[in-house]
Amino acid sequence: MTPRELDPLLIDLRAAIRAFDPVPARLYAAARAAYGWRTVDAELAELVADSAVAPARRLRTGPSGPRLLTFAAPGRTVELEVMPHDTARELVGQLVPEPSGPVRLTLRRAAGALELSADRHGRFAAYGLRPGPISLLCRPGGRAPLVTSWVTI
Amino acid sequence: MSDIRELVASAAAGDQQAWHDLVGRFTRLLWGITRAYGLAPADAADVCQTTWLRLVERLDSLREPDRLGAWLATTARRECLRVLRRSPRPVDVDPLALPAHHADPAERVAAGEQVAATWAALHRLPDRCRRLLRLLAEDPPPTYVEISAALGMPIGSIGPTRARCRDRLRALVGAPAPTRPPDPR
Repeated sequence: MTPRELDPLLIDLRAAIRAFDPVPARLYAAARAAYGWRTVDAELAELVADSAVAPARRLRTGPSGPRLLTFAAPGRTVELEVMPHDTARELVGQLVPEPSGPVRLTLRRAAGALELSADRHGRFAAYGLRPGPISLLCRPGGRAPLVTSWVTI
Repeated sequence: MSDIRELVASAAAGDQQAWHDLVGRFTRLLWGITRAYGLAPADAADVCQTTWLRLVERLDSLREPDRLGAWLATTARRECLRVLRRSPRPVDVDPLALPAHHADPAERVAAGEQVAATWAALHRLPDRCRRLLRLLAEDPPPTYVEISAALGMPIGSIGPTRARCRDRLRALVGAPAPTRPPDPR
């Protein structure tokens, strides 16, 4: 429960937010559009490791080094390595275990879906990506599709 | 709030309007949290969007849909901390000089000097106070459960911290701006 007092200081802050820091209108449209990324049948691979927040300082490579992300679902893992390249991002990834057959890979992001190809070892790459939220959709033949939890690169 | 639970269930079942209602209900809270953490507008927008996308991917599996506000706040907090760990916040941002592409110039004029001075003073507070007061100033304010989740603060400490921070802000407002930032305490 939040007490609502007529505190003149909060009233001024409230007015200040309206004047100096309102919600950008485009955020609402973008958030509504997020619903379009729903995948009904895919298994979710959760983010289980992120080198950007690793506890041991020596593992962190700093803002100019690669960022290592691991997404895990039962029996399957997706490893991503994200590297800054000027203002863009390069992404190199690996499906674990190696897929036994062809896999359809789709990189989901604000700018639209990007089809990627994986080699027979389950490795793939994408270049020239704009920073922002991404999620990978893997559709191996004969297994349930897998999506990685959205992360901002 | 059972209406939140119903909206989540409807959105999970494919009702796009229910999703739109949730967006309308909670976007302001998410923006407030990202700005409370001092993220630049572009990073703040990304965190808001990632938070919504995280909700989309688990609409079916939320354990406590009634507590969606707290879940969103916790998710936004984690993403803000992720951003801050990757790149520290620049310290010399003038809060009165923020990019105005999204702000209504008429609101700025109508706000006046006292409001501008209060806003500038808010940004001279230590992080803990600045974040808390920034959230409490939202209209309508978040619940204490949501604030606790957003800031990682025990609910019981919100009231006393609010009072202390409010007094610090009042002391700063009207005091002349220092030529360099005050030492954090």
